[in-house]
Amino acid sequence: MKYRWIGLIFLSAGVGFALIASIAFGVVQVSVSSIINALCSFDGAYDQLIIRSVRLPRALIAAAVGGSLAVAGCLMQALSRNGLAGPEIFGVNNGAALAVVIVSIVLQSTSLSVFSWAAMAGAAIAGATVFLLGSIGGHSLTPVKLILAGATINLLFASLTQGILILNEQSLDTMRFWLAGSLTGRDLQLFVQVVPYMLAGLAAAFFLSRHMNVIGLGEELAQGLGQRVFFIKVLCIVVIVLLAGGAVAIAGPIAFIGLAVPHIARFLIGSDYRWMIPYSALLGALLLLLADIGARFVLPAQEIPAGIVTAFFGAPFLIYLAQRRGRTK
Amino acid sequence: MLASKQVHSLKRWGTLSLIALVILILSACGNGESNKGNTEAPAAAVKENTPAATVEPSTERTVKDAYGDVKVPANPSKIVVLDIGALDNLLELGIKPIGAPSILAAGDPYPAYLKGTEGIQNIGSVNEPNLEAIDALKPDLIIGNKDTHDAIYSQLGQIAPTVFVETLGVTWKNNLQLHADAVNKSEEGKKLLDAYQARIDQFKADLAGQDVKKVSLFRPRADKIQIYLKDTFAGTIMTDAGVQRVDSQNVEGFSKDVTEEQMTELDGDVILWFNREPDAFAKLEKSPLWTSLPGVQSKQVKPVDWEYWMSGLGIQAVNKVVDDLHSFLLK
Amino acid sequence: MFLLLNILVLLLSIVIGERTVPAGEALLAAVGLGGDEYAFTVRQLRLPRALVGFLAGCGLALSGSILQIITRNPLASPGVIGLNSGAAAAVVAVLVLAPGFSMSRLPWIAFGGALVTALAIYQLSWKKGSSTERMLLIGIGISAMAGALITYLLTLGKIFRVSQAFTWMAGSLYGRTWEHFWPLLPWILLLFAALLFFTRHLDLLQLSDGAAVGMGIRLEWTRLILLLFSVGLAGAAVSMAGTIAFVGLMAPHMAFHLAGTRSLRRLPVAGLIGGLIVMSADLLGRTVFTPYEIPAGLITALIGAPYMIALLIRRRAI
Repeated sequence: MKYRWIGLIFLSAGVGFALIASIAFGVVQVSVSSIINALCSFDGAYDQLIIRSVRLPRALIAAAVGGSLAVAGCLMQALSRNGLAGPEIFGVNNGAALAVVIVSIVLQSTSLSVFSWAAMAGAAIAGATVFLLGSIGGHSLTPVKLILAGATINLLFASLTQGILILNEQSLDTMRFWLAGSLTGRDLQLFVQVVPYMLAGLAAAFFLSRHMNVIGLGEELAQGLGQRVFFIKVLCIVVIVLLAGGAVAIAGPIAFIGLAVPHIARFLIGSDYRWMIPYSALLGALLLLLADIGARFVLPAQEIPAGIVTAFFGAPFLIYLAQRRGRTK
Repeated sequence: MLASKQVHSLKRWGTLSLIALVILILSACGNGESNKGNTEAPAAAVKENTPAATVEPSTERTVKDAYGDVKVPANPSKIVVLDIGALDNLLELGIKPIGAPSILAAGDPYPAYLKGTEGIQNIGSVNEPNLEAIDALKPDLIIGNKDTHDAIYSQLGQIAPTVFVETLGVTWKNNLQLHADAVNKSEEGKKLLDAYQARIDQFKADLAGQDVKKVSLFRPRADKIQIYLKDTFAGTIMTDAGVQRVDSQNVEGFSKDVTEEQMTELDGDVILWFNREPDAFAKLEKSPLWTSLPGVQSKQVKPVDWEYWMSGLGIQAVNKVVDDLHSFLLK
Repeated sequence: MFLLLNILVLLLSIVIGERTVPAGEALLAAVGLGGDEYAFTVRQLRLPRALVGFLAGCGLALSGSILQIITRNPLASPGVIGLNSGAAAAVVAVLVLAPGFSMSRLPWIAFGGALVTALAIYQLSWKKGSSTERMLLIGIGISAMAGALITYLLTLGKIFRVSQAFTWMAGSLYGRTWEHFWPLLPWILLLFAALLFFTRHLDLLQLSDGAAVGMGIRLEWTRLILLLFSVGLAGAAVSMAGTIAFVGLMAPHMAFHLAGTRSLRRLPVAGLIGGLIVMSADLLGRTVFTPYEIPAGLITALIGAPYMIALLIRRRAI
């Protein structure tokens, strides 16, 4: 019990350090004193402006998106009782992208709030479709069916997005923007718009964590223990949509955080959701912050999207996971 | 057992002979092709066998393009161009091509700064011109560039003689001369270049009497900011005109991507920008870093037309750019 | 019957387009007898393009058939296990980093990329006994890594190179010529012919490992050779036509339903169906939305995804 608290404190400290590192390191060198000044006694100097208007928001976005994705993945895995569930398998990214593209063409709107709502709706629709397809056929969600349904829906939505963009005379550049998964140049106002939903989602996730343990035991057992299973499941889905949809709306597809982090958390502190959810939130934030810092230094004087970094390091983790599952069977 | 085995082997032979037949047919109808459009030496082989242009030898001329010597009709009259640079140049030389592509997507209108484009058949986009549409026009000359159209070079060569410039942008002077040669207007081409040189010399002289103004040129995009360096179309014109670039932009190369935090590199006494994405500049404008730049504060930010600063690439675009420089830098 | 359908689509492919060529004229032009009017459009544009599509479809379908048989898994296909993305990453690397690389050697590059992927998968998954779940997951993982690598390469490359690589990756048959057809033909033909000599092995492998060993088959060797065939077929197809989705999965399936389990019948049928799908997809892609061209790979995804979903719904226990 005690070591879990200590771990939590260590992780929080880690996230803190990563936030500071994310603020301090970048293409433009910034002195320590101007970081401190920017935060404490802001006087409008250029370096301080960089800190306040670029680096700080970017670090916050990375932390919020990473944490949200990880917690969303955690809840998905609990809900589907399936270790492979995660935003990327549920097609959330491609669903959001498709919805935004459709909305921006049909409504001719460039309003950010419309975009964020569309992204969330798209994420929800894609997630629900995959979930339904995976659970069709009497048996509960088997991993194979889930993965298959996810891969199919992902490809279908990605193709539809691409097709619509081609027909709507957009250049490839626009598409690249949607496929990038980058944290640079993301819109601050959009972040401000979406962040309340994400915070609400996180708070609700903490509140739900006690119930998730019981749900994890199986539906009959949970009902036997007096849980309002249906109500909790619905709530859980709403939270997932808020978190994953919000994250995608801000940062585009950031792969594998939602899948990998819950496993790392489980490895560290076991499968008690009361601990897993805070651990996942912190670990997710930490990993995405680190990936984003890494993305600034891969190429000299040029950045690559953070989504590439997480995919490149997340995919081997998936493979490792796949092998381990095979062995324990 | 025996019988089924026989049937089995019979079937196998049937399949095999079917394959053999297919190969035979394919190679029969393919061989005829492969002599003409052969893979090994498309450049040489194709040129000799231009089917469409049945011109008399005496009415042919030879020009030298990115692939070597090409025989073209003495006075080509049905010309298809594959990029906007060629469209721009030919129109200025007084020749209206019969077919030209749109910059981004098939069917888009041609750049607004080009006059007299009515009646030109649209042949798709610059990146993917529609080969069937080109063939249907029965051109006697096709003008393109190696960088964009290398992959379809040998196919085009079978429609009509092709003249390809090496690349677009920095080489615009050579391109203009080659385009002029190809349509038998070498003299006019040279005149246009001389006129440009005279104009630029005058501009330089006028500029010398004034305070130095350093110019910044970039393109805000959805996910990054792209600084246009010296080896770009607009960059060469500014170099010719003796326009001083901002120090960080006074380097060789095509472009450099920067993020918001490198915003100081965008500053200049005159700040020029262009782009095709409508929202990207609006986003940039909202940043406090942008408003902190001295050039922005003294209201020296000028949007310029991407159609000729970025995608024009011909002599008319060049002159429009010089016009803009006049109005921004000279009083 | 499929041969007939294929011929029909091929005929349609040379007839329909920017301007419609009368069927008779098109046929004459195709064999080199017609007048000059349509000769170029038919013989240099439409015919090679359709045939490259056909061969690529064949290659993917055959590759998928082999994989489904040796893994005894109806979901194995070059796309699903990541062979296509491995090949694509190798080709994009060459397109971006080594400009001027000869087109006719691209199948070798793609083969190399697919081979590395296949060996990785073999090492990671098949050795420890085949499990559908593991295979799918590893496929997703490998595709994701190859995708990240491709995106990285594209940010490195020169602008002209990058736009070429983009078009190519979307699985478009735009601008495919005899130059693409001829390098592809021997790969598909030779591997297909070689495959026909292994039909007995394939039939036995399909039953069980025990049966195969009982009939005197050296299991590991046979598997390895067949796997190499599969890699070669998929790699060659990808190198000339880009990544075309779902064909390697759908075609073997349909062939199984239509022609049964006998490899001697199933393989040719699968190949023909695969060719048919890609050729039709390309025909649709370039005619339905003119003046825009929709890449064939996109059309196959739009057809393939619902097929897959229907499969998921109908077959309750995959």
